[in-house]
Amino acid sequence: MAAVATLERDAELMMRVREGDGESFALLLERHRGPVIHFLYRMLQNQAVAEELAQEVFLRVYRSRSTYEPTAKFTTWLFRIATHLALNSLRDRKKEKGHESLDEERDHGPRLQVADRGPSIEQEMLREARLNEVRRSIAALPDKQRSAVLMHKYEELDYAQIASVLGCSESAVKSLLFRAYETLRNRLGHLASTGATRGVKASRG
Amino acid sequence: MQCPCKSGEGIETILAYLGGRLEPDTVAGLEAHLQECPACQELLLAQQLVWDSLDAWKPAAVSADFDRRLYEKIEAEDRRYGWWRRLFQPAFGFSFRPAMAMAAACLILVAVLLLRSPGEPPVAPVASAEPVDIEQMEKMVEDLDMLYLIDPVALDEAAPDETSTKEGVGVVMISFGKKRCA
Repeated sequence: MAAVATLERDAELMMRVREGDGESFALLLERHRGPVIHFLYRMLQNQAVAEELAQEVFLRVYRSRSTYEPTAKFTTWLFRIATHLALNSLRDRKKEKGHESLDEERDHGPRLQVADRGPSIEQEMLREARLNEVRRSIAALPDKQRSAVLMHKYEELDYAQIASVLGCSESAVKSLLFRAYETLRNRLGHLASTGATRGVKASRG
Repeated sequence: MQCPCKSGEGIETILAYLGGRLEPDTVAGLEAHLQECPACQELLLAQQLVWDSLDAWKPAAVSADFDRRLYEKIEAEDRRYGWWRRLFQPAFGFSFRPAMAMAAACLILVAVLLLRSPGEPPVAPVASAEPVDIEQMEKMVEDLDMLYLIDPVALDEAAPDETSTKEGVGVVMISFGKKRCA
């Protein structure tokens, strides 16, 4: 019910933007800025590029304000633009480099912080190593599988929304997701021995 | 509850369970099933590990000047293309967009008509024929004449050695000659 209200609110705000209301655009930006940037960051694993592309996403939303029709969910439309830009950027990068260097990410990612009363250096190093493994595993997925997993896991889009974003059927999305999760289970399985697993019920929901 | 792993919906059910997207009744049924199904337990633990690992990946904070940079771009774009957009925006309940499109189409049509020179006669299609090889034609006429000259009666009376020399060609020519004569 809350999700429906949010959808209606987004469409309403966009209709106001269409009429020239700048404050409504600011509200939309505030609401969706984080998810769009985080999605792009996880797709591209480069914060600076992610922010540049996120700016382009919102610029396109602003440009399209006069022709906007609330036929599709606003979030779906927004992530369609973001995914399109991310996939194009990845394609261009692959053409330029041949392959991605994941080491770049460390320059833009969260810094290792060691506090006196926080976790020990060893624990932090272990955590950082695990995170690097996760980032590598995500980066190694094919582009469409990666975008499907990120939208499903972090943005909590349902199969129909992801299908609309990627321009394919729901069954194709399920196939993409199940294959991606299978790959991740195989790649990240060894982390179980390092105590990454918590209780099932504790983390569910 | 039917085993999700055996029904082929294992991972879909487990993903929905981990994402908190299952109905309470289904959750209770699944949890009861998990107590007695090692295959489903194994799948759940493996997927739980992936889930937790992904949860641990927190994105970096957004730059403080993100909005400022975006609004600068928007303002710059408005300055550059604002007059052009205003031209197409509806005013007084009337949208100029279709009218402008129609006007552009009319302009193109007029330009095409004007560019065509009025005195120029229409280009007639040029009749084209393949060049005739005169020697080939002559040879063909000679061949036809030869066919007319062949008399079937005379051929019957001719010595066998004469016909056997032109066995293949002769037979064809004779039959053709008969048809022509008939």
